[in-house]
Parts: sequence; C-alpha cells; structure tokens
Amino acid sequence: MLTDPETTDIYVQETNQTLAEIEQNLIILEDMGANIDMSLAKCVYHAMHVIRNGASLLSLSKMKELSQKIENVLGLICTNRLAPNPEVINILLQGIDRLYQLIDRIHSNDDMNIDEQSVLLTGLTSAVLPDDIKQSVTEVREIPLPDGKHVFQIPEFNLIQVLEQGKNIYILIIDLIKDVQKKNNTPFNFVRFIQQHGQIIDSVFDIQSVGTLEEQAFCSEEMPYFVLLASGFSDKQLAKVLELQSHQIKQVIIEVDDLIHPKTKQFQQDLTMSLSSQNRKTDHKNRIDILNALSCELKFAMNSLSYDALSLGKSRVQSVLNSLQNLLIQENYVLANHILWKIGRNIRDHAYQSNIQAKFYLECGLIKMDQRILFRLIDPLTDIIIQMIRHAQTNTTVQICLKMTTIDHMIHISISFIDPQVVKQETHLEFDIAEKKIHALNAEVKQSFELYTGINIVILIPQKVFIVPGYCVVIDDHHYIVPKFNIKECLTNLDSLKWRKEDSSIIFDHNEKRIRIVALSDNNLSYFKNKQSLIVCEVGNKRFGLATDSTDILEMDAVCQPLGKQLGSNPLIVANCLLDDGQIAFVLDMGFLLKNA
Amino acid sequence: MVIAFLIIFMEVNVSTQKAEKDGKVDLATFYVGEALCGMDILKIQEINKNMEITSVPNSPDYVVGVLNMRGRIVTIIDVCKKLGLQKSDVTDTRRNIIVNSQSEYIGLLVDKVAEVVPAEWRKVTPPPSNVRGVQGKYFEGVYKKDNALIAILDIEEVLKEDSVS
Repeated sequence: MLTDPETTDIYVQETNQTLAEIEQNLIILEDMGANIDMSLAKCVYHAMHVIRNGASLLSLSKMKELSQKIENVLGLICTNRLAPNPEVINILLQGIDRLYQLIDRIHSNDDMNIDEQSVLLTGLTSAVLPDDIKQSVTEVREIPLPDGKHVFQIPEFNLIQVLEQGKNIYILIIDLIKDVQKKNNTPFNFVRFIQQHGQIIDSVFDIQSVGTLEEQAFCSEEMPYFVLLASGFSDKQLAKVLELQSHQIKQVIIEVDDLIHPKTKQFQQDLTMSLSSQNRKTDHKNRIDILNALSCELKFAMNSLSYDALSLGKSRVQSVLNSLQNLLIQENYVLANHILWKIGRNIRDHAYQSNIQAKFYLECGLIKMDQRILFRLIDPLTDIIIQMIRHAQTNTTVQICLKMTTIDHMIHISISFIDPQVVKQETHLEFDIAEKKIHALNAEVKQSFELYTGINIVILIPQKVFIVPGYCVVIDDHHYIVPKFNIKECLTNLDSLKWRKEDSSIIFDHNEKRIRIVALSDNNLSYFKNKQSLIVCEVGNKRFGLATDSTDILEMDAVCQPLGKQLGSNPLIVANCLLDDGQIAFVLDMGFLLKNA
Repeated sequence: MVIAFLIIFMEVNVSTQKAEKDGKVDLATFYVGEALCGMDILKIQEINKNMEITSVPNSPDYVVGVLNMRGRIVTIIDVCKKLGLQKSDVTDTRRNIIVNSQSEYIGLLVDKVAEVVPAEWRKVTPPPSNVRGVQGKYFEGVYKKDNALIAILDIEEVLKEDSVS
C-alpha cells in the first residue's frame, strides 16, 4: 500500500474535485434526457476510472469497489445500453455521495458500509444486460500473477467491457524501486503515466516481498507492483513507452479482438490532471515564497519597533497585514458557480423525492467570492428555493433562477421564478432558519412580491468580509469567539481538585504544569470549580487558561461585523458576529486577556 | 471666481439649513424617566420592542447591549443612564428607537413612546442650561405643547462617546 501522506493528499484533493465534476455532469446528462451527449458521458466514465485506479493504488478497497460499480453503470450509459433517466442518475448520485464520505474518512473508510449503494448499482447493471452476460456482473475471474503468490480477482463484466472495446489485457510487473524511484519518479505519477497508455483494471502492491526492517528481504531493494492493464498497444509498444523490459509485460489471453485506436480523450484528461498537479506544486512554491518574504518583513518591522520607530514599525506591520489579506483573497476567492452548483443537485434531489418537476438555473457569471461564505450559502439558499417550489401552483415544471450580480462592492443574489405566474396570490415565505444562517454571513435578506414579477428574494452580501477562524465557547451565558491561532489545548472533564488559589490568582494544575487562569467576571475558586472546560491559550510566548461553560467547543469561521462606536473603546472585544441560530458572539482580544492574567 | 462661488455655495447651504429649522417638523415624543423628549421623526429608522438584548461585558453602564436586528448588530443605549437621570422601573412599555447616526444604526432605549406632535421650528426655544436635571447640551431646544414641555434631543450629542454624565 502506498500511503505516504503526500500521495494520499493529492489523491484526496483530486478525487474531491473530480467527484464534484462528475456530480455536475451527471445532472447535465439527466437534463439531456434521450439526447445523450456521448462525449460528456465518456468524460464522466473516464473520470470515475481515474478515481478507481487511484483507490486501487492506495489499496482503498471500499473506494475501489464502489467506484468500480459506478464505472460499470457509466460504461453502460456510454455504450447506449442504459439511459441516464432520473432513477439511474439518482442511484449514481447516491454512489457519488458515498464516495465523498469515503474520501472524507480516508484513513478509516474500510469501516464504512457500502452495501446499499453496491446493491443498487449492481442491480442497475445486471438489469439492463442480456441474460448470458447478466451473471458476469457478480462472477469473479481469477487471474494468477507470475509470482505465483497473488491473484487478481476481477468481475467478469469488467473484462468483457474492455475486451468488447478490442483491447489486449496485460500484466505489468513493475519494481517501484528500480522502475520508479531510481528514475526520480513517484508511484502516483508513474501510474498516471501508465493510464495514458491503457486502462488499469486492477493493481496489487506486494507488501510481503518488501519485508520489514528486521528482515533480510528488505535489503534486496525490490518493491514489486503488479498492474492489470487493458490497452490498445502491443506488448512491445508498451515496453517501449513505459521503459520496461519485455519480461515485465505478460499478455493475458482470455479473448482477443483486433487493436483499435488508443483513447485520445482519456489521454487528454489524464494529461490535464497531471498538469493541474504540476500547477498546484508551482502555486504552492509561490505561496511559500510570499510567506517567506512577509515573515522577513515582519521580522524587520519588529526591528523598527525596537528602536522606537513606532510609526514606521506600525506601517510595516500594516503592509504585511495587507499582503497577507491579499494572499488570503487569492486562496479563498473562487468562482461562485464552482460551489453553488451544489444547490442544483439539492433541488434535483428534492424534486426527485417529491415526485415533482423542477429546474434550477444558476447565473453567477464570473463573480468570485470567499469560498467559506459560498459553502455556507448552499444550505440556506436551498431551503429558500425549496420553500418557493412548495408555493408554486403549476402542473408543469417549476423553473427557478438564481442570478448573481455585483453592485457597489456588494454581491446581489436574486432568486425568482422564470414564470412569475406560478404563484398567483401575494405570498410571504417563512424561512427563519435559513434567514438566520444568511445573517450569520453578515448578509441581508429581502423578500418582495409583485403581481407581474412574482416572489423575489434578494440577498445582499459584502464582497469582502472579515472572517476570524476560531472556536465558539460559552462563558457566563455569553458566546465568545476565541481565535484559533491563540488556542493551544482544550481540556474537558476537569478535576475539581486541581483548581487552587495562589495569592490572588486562580491556578489549574495540569500535567505538572500550573496554568494561570484569566477571569472574565468572577474570581472565586468555587466559580471555577463549576466550569466545564478549560482552553489553554497562548499570546506571544505566554500561556494562560480560559475557563468556559461549554462542553462542546464549536470550531467556526466567524464572519465579523465591526463594533458599534459606543463599544469601540471596549478593549476586551475586537468584533462581534452572528451565529447560525441568531445569537450574538463576541470576538475576544486575547492580548487584553493576557494583560489581565 | 472660485472664492465667489464658495461664498455663494456656503450662503445657499446655510440658508437651506435655516429653512429646515424654520419649517415644520413632526416630533416623535417619548418618555425618558419622567422627562418628555422628542426628536424629528425623520431621524427614526424604526421603533421596536425587541428586548432580546445581549449584554456586552466590559462596556460602559449606559450601553444596554447589542441586538440582532434582522442580521444587523445594533448597539442599544439606555438614554436614561446616558443623560444621568434616575433609573426608572423596567416596564412593558419600553421600546428601542433605532436611529441612523453617522452611517451606524443605534438603538435608544426609552421608557415609553408617546404621540407624534406637529411642531414649528420657529416656536422651539433654546434649551436652558438644565432641563429636568439634564445638561442642556443634550437638547436642540424645547417646544411647548399645551401644558407640556417637549425637550428635543440632540441625538449626535447624546451619542458622543465622551459625553458620559
């Protein structure tokens, strides 16, 4: 198993991105009905194939199994044997949802159950196949490896699919040390390279042959990796392009048809993924360079402050702050439709489950927004649109459009029916929960109804927002945001015996260290003994504790509103924000707390 | 030429302000403790009785707290405390008068909202140095209606940060 963190990270990032693309394209395919865009269908198929190969390489058995089953169904769509009707797309989307969950819990995903999705997908595949092939979906063919120790276990249906495309099946015997590492390549890139020349049906990494550090076998410097490849190339061509010896390629004779042209589309797609990975590395290097330069400037600004050039020092710090904010904008600002398309998926699911016809149109143009805001808009906007759909009185398809524009540094989101007449009388929608969630983004919601334009929901969001990543805690019935940067540790289940008073200070003893406690109000020992948790904070190089009444400490990106002028001189609080339930939380200035520690 | 233009502009501006003060005004009246106060109704954004106010630790005593007004966090000021009057009993008649001061919404917590009184600026007299125990600087003037005196609040002066009684 190739589990180096970098390879896994790349796989997680690429898979999340690819799954999102697949999800969007499936909805497009569903909308097309009988007029399937075959190139789009094949694109989805190959994208799923790439996910499956990655899972195979990383020995993610559940990922591999489920993506294989989805790939099978997509293969049937590509060969016109299955129409992408809402029922089919629904099952595929359920599979995609499960893949998201699996990738989200990549290190423990073998504990997750995929039975439900597997049954649905297998049922779908076998339902459309002729009787003689139907059994192939569940039948497994064993293909022994040349080492005599392992076998590939491949569903016959997958073998039939590649053979029907006229491909040869090969076993590639690769030594990851000699063929990959010593050629300054990485296993992941090498697999990508193989994918450019064929379709990986399965792969096995022989971990036993590698041995352990104690074993002599480890010194043999061999890392066998076997790939079952379907390719239009001959064995000699493959050996040449993959720079392998002829004995490293064994053809598996099951059923052989004539060679067909290699799949240029897959080649292009895999090449694109490879390029995007390279771009990511370049971006990463650029970011590191910028951070390096900023850290130098901050160090020199400290120098200015130390020789009493306060004003110069402040302005240097401010310039670093501005550059950091620009960097954050570059990092977090994305095209709105790259995230809000998910609303379309939610509406589609609602319509499917409610057995109604609904169409959602998203018009965001090239508007970019902070992705942290965009992700938090998906749920409330979906709720509002579902409310609108419920009020529509029509026997035909309900069509709703979400338009996004920018006016005076504000993002305007307008949601309305394409045909306003579907709501015939003045209506006021109730969406309190959604409204509160939108308010928590420092945004406004307006609702209007006019006879000729129907219901119109307008949401106004500032284009630039100040977001504090932090943790929300409750202290004395007040909600506070403690900036993430200042939190070092969180202690729960506090032992009441560890609280003590030392002179006028309250101390909590933890792991043979004394934590000095900062009090926001009361400073009695009995007051602290009732506290549920203790946050160990650090400001500069000094540590102190903050006792809270929270049992659960909620991590959140607080979208801040500036303090009112009457509170501007309050040194304890630097900003305030709204929580998703409408309550107000205060962002603490940890520097002020430290001063009082 | 430029100077002449500036002089004309300033004269026009001053005369406009004068015209405003010369004209009619609808005074929204309310009680702060026992004192009947008023303000130009056009300065009021809304009046609400939302008392789900979150107190703000470490803030001046005249700051009642903050209020979530449809997504906008509004600071609520206890006018009684700000003017240095005796604190009155908490009653159901209390209301937040939301005003827009220098592009910021601020709520003025008052004890009771009374009627709207049509008035004429020319009948408004300058405030005495002390109105019912409150410094005269907090008022634009005093308007007499029947047997009652309405003290017209100078909102900007009341909301000045340094004007703590």
